Amino acid sequence: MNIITVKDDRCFTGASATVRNMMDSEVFNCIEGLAFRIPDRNTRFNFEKVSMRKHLDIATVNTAARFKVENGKILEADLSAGGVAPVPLFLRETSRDRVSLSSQAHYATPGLYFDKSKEKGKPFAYHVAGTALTEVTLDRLRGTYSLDSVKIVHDCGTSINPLIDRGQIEGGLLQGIGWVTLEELKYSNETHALLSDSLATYKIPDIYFVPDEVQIEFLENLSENGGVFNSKAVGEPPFMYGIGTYFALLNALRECNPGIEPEYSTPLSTEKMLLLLEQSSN
Amino acid sequence: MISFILNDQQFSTELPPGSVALDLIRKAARLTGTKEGCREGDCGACTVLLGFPQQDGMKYMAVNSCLLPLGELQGNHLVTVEGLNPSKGYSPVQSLIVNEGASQCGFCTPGIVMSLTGYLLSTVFPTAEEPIFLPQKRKSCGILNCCSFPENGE
Ligand code: FES
Repeated sequence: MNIITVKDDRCFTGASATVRNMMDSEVFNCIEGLAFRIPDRNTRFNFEKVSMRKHLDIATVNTAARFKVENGKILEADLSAGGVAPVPLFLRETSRDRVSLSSQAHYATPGLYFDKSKEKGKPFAYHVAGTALTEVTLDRLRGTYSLDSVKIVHDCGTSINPLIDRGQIEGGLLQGIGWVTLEELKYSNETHALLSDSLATYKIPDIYFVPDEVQIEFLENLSENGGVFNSKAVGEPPFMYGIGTYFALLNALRECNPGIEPEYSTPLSTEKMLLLLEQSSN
Repeated sequence: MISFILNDQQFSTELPPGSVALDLIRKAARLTGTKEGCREGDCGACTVLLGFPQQDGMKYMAVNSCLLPLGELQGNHLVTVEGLNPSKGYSPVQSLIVNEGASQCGFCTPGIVMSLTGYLLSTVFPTAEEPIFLPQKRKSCGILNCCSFPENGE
């Protein structure tokens, strides 16, 4: 980056020329100052700014005059005037093809109401349903595990774009699994500072964490639901399928020790699982 | 003075050799396709290709530009996502990502594109045993929290 000082001779060439001057060089410029020559004693000047706008402080017309006067004689005179005006632009092709350059839409889900005084009503048009079958293999010596498969049936109503919806379900599943198994907020006991404050200490799933098999089916459910084009939300609901992994791991732990009483807390990290397994062998 | 080729142009800078390549790319060169995520080498959003002249041609590898000191660029070739397809259209990796729907919000997609491109440029063709998603192991773009993941081997 270049730090430059703009001198007066580069400024008074009109707004666009000034900007072009400064941005011209290859490197990105940063203006640190503006410098002006101080006029001598014989120079008189005046600046007039006319603005018709009430609240916006941009002048519609600017005028400036400078005179060099000696013994009552004007030796030099500079006058300049400038205005701001929009330059109309004619868009030939869009005009020829009569393309609208703006669009706007709003969807108000029909039939929603809620009476706060009675705590009754219909605040949501629909609920999203789905199910996930999760298979894991637990190494009872180490507390490590592999995610063998997750099979999901998800209800998106009528999917607007199955490719994108599938991606959202895959991503939601992975994020959910990360929350219940890996992602742990650790705070210092002394300073209470967050210790897992970077991706180096706060582990989130990477591609190696993806279950070996992920099968996703859309629920065939074409009943009216009130959503846009009869679709349903797909961003956050699939997140819940990650919880299946928590319970699958818990079941696997119980298989090793039917008596364990784990406290319900996530993430169920490998450390915690190892401790639970140890507890079982005592 | 550090001189190198940035995409298809000669580029020189007076910035200190210890400064971060990512800043040069995004600020001085105004190439904002390369993204800043964690700025500590974990997420891979900032992945670029670095090419070194060798006896038998150029050798390219994917690197995290947030950990790359400018001095490393001297005499080498730096390729950002803008440099993959100077003319119109998509690179093969980009087309696959589009066709398979592997981009969701898209913020980290340039990093994934650069990682996969670097992998393909630096390895023999992927097989089922050594599939394409290996670049993650080499510390390039590997973190996906919001995105779908490309099918194994595709
Ligand atoms: S910004 Fe995350 S690896 Fe560089």
